[in-house]
Amino acid sequence: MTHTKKIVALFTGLVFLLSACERIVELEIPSGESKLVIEGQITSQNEPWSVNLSLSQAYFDQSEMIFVTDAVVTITGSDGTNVILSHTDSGHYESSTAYFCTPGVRYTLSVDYKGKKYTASEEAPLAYPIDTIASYYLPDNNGFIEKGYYVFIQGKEREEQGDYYLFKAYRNDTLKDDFGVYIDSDEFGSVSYLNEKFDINNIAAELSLGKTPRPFPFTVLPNDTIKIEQYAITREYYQYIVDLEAQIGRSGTPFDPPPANPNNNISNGGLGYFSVSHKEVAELIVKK
Amino acid sequence: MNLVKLRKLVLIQFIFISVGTLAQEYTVSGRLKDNSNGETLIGATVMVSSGGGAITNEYGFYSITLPKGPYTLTFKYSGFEDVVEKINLNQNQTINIELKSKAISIGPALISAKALEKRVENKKMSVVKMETAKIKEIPVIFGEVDILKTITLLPGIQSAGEGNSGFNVRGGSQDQNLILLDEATVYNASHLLGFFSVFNGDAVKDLEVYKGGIPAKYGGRLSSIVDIKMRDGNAKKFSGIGGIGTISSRLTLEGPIVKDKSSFMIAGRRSYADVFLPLAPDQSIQESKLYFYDLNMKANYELSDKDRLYISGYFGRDVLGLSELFKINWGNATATLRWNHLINEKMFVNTSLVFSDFDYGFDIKFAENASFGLDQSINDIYIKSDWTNYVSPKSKLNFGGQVTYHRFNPGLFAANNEDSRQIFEDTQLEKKKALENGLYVDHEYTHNKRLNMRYGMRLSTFSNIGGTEYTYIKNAETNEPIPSLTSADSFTNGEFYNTYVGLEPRASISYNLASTLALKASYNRTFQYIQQATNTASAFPTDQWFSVNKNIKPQRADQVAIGLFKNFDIGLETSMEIYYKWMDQQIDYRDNAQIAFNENLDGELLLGKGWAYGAEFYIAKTAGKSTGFLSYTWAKTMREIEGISGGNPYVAGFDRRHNLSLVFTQKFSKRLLATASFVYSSGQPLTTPISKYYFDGQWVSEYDEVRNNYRVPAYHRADIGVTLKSKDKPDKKFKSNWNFSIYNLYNRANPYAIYFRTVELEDLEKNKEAIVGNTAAFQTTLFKMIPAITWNFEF
Repeated sequence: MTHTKKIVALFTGLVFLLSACERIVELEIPSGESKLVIEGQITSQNEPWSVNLSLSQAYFDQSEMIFVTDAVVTITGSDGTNVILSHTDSGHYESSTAYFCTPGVRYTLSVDYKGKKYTASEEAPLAYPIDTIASYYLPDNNGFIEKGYYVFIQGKEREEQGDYYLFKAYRNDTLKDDFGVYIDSDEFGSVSYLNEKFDINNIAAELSLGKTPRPFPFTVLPNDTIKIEQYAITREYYQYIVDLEAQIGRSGTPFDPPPANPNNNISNGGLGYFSVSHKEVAELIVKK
Repeated sequence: MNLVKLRKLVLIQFIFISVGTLAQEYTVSGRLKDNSNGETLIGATVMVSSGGGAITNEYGFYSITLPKGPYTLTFKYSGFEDVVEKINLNQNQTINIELKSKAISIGPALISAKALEKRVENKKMSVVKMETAKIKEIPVIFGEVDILKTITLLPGIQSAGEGNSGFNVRGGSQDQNLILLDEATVYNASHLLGFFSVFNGDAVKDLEVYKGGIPAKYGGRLSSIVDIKMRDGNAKKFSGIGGIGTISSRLTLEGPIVKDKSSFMIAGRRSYADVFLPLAPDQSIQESKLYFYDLNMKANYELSDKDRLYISGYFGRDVLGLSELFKINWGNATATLRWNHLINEKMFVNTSLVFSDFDYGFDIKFAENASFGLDQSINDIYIKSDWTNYVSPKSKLNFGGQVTYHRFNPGLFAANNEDSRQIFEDTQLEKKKALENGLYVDHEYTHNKRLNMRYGMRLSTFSNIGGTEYTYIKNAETNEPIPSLTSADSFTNGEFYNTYVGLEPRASISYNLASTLALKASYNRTFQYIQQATNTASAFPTDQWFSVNKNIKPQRADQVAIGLFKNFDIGLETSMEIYYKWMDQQIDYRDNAQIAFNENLDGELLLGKGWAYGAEFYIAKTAGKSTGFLSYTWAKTMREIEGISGGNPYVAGFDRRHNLSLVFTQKFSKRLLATASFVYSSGQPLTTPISKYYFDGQWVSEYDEVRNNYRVPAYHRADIGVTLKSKDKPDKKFKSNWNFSIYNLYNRANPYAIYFRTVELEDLEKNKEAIVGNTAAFQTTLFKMIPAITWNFEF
C-alpha cells in the first residue's frame, strides 16, 4: 500500500516536474443534508464496547464537528448478546462492562436517532494469534526504506482464502500517525506482513542469504517499545478502508480515482462504518 | 433508411453497372504526383470538360470511363498549378501527371468562382482534413508539431484536456476513435502520458477525420475514424528534413530507390527532457529516466505498371524510470504491407497485411530479492482487401473486407528473479483471443450537377475464441454493489462462441441548392467490439483494452447529421452542421471500481445508453496574406446508466458545452509568417462533495450521488508563433527556418484538476491564508506560459 503510494507520488512528481502548480481556489459547490455518522469497532478482546456518533456538515463549514448525544444505541449478537451503550461525552457511547466478540457470531448495531433507525451488522472473523514479533537491522537504504532498525511480525494465515487484516503500529504507546496503519490481504498470494516464509528463528542466516522480511516500514530505535495490533477484519471493511484511502489520497493528478463514496454497512443512508474484528496484540522492546 | 429499400438500391446499381459496360466506352486512368518529390497526391481532382470527373484515391490513382470522343481533362490540386490535357479517347489510356507547386504568392489571391463551386461540391460532410503544412504553422506546446492536438481546434473534435492527446468526437469517448496509421490501428496515441501524440509531423502526409458519414469501408469504432497517411518519400532525389526543438529533435531522410519509380522514407524522433533531469534538486529525480522515441519507415516499389508494393512501419516507445526501483515503458509497433493492383483500367485493388501491437509494462524493485513486473498487451493481425470499380464518371463502386485476429494479454504479474518468486506468486490473467470480420459494399453516385450520394452497408461480426466466460448476478436486494460471480464456463482453445453480428448501413447525400451552396445529410450506424477500461479523465497506457463477451454486448451508435455549406467569393468557406447521436451499451464503472489487473473486470462495469447532440460552425479564409479559421461547437453529451447517479441521466465526464477556436495566420513576407490562436471551452464536469464528516481521525468527503453535479471553471488560452524562413537561394538546396512560439500567452492558470482535501502544513507555502486542518478545494494547473524555439531544416 505505502509502496504503491510512494511510487505513484514519485511518478507523478516526475510528470509534474515540467511546470505543474497547485493552489487553493474558492468554489461554490452544492450542499447536502446533514447525515448521521457512525464510527464503531468491536473486537475479540474483552473491552467495553464503544461507538462514536456525529453529524456531517457542509464541506466548507470550518466549525468543530457536531456530536450526537441523544441517540439510543444497542449491539446485539446472533448468540443472544444484548448490550446497551450509553452516552458519556462528545458523542461517545460506551457499554458499562467489558465484552468480546466470538468468531462466527453476527453482531448488529442499532442506533435510534430522531425517529430514524440505523443498523449495521458484521460477522466476527477468525484469526490465529501473532506467533512472534522481532526486529532486525537493515544496513543500507534499499531504495524504498532507509537503513535502520525495523520491526516485523510472524503469524499463520488461515488455510482458506479470504484473510483480511488491519495492522496498527504503536511506538512508545503512541500510534504512528503517518506510517502507523496498514492493511493486507491474501488476494494476491499471501499476507506479506505475516512473513510466513521467513525463518524468524534464524534472522541472521536469512539476512545473509539476502532474504529480508516485510517489516512495518518505519525505523525504530533500540529500547523503543513497539506494539502491533492485528485486526482480522471482514472483506467489506477491508474494501471500505481501501476505497476510503483512495478517496482521501487525492493529489490532483490524473491517477486520482473518480469521486465516489465508499460502500459502507450502515442502513438508512448513515455514513461511517461499524466493524467487528478479531484482535491480537504483540509487543517488543527493540534490542541493539 | 429502410434496409430493404437500400438493398434494392444496391441491386439496381449493380444492374446499371453491367448495362453501362456494354456501351462503347474507354477509360482514362493514371496517377497524380507532386513534381518536386514524386509524392502521390491524394484527393486531387480530375475534371472532364463534358462534366463530372474523378478524385484521386489514397494512392493518387484516378480512373474515368467515358464514351468515345475528344475531351479536355483538367488536373487540379490545392496549392498546385492546374494541368490541362486534351485527349481523343478511342482506346483505354494511361495519363500520369505531375503537378507543379504554385510559387508562394503573397499578393491578394482570389479564388476563381469555378474553384469555389468545386469546393462546395467536393467537401465531404462531417469530414475534417488537414494538411501537414498547415498543421505546422499552428503553434503548439513546446513547439512540438502535434497533429492530434491541432485537429482538436476543428469543430466537433474536443480535446480531452491539456496534457492529454486524447480527444472526443461528437459525444464519443476517447476509445471510440479509430486511429489508423497507414491502415494499422494505433491503440495508444500518447507520448509521455499524453503530453504529445505519437505522430511525427515530418513523416505524415495527410490526415482525415470522419466525425460522421463514415464510409462503409471503415468499421470497428463508434465515433470517428482518424486516417493518417505517411509520406511515401522523395522519388526524385535524396533529401532530408529535420529539426531541433525544445523537447525533442527529429530527422527524416528520404530518397529514390529507383528514380521516379520507388522511394523510401525513414523518420526518427527522440525527446531529451531527461537530459535536464540531473539538474533537479531531488536525487531520485536525477537518477530518473524520462524519454520517448519513435521511428517511421516507409518504402514503395513499382513491380509493374499495374502493381505497386508499399511497406510501412511505426515503432515508438516511452520510458519512465526512477533510478533502478521503478520503470514503466510502453509503445506501439505497427507494420503494413500493401499491394496495389490494377485488374484493369477500371478496377483498382489494394490488399494489405497489417500487424499492430501495443504493450505496456512496469518493473518494481523493492529490494535485491524483491523485484517484479507487469506486462499487458493487445496485438492484432489482419488482412484486408479494398476494391474500387470506376464504373463511370458518375458512379464508383467500392467493396471489400477485413479479417482481424485480436489477442489480448490482460496482465502477467511475475517475479523477476528466483528469490522474488518465493514472495510473489506469478499471476497470469487469462489471455483472450477474438476474431473480428467486416464485409462492405459502398456506392458513390453522382446523379447530376446538383445531386450526389454515397451509400453502403457494412456487415461486421465478432467472436470470442477459447477461454473462460464468467457469469455474474447482481444482488439488488442486499444493496451489495459488487455483483457476485456465480459460474465460470470454459471453452477450448480454438472454440468460437458469443458471435455477434452487426449490420451497419451508411449513407450520405449532397444537394447543391445554388452553385456555391450545398445541403448535405448523412446517417450512419456503427458497432464497436473492443474498448478500453478507463476510469480516469485521461487515457493511460495502463488502461487495458478488452473485448465484448457474454456480459458485455457490442456498443452501437446511430448518428444523423445535416449540414449547410456555403462559399463566398471573397475567399470564405463556411459550413454549419447539426448532429444527433444515439448510443447503446455505453460503458461506465460502478463506484470504487477496481479496473486494473482484475480478472473479473466485467463485474465492475455498468452498461447503459448515451446520447449526444450539437451544432458546429466553421468559417475559414483560405487564400491571401491573411488566412485562418473560426470554429465553434455547441455540444451536449449525456449518459443514462443504471447504478450511476441513481439511474437518472447525467452529463458525461467529457461534456464541454461551448468550444471555440480561432486561428489566424498572417504572411508578412516570403520569409516571415506569424500565427495566433485562441481556444475557449466550457469547464469539465466534476462530482463535488456535498458534505464532510469526521471519521477515523480525518475529514472525509461525502460526494454527491448526482454524477458530475458541477462544472469547473472554463479553459481558455492564447498562443502565438512566428516562423522566419532562411533566404531562398535557387542554387542552394539547404533551407531552414526558426520557429518561436509562446504557449498560454496571458499565463492563464487553467484547471487541470480540481479536488477536495484537508489543508496540510506544506500547503501553507503556496497558500498563506490557509489554515491547517480546514477543508479546501485545490486546483492544479499544468502549463502556464511556455516559450519555445525550434529550428527546422531541409535539404
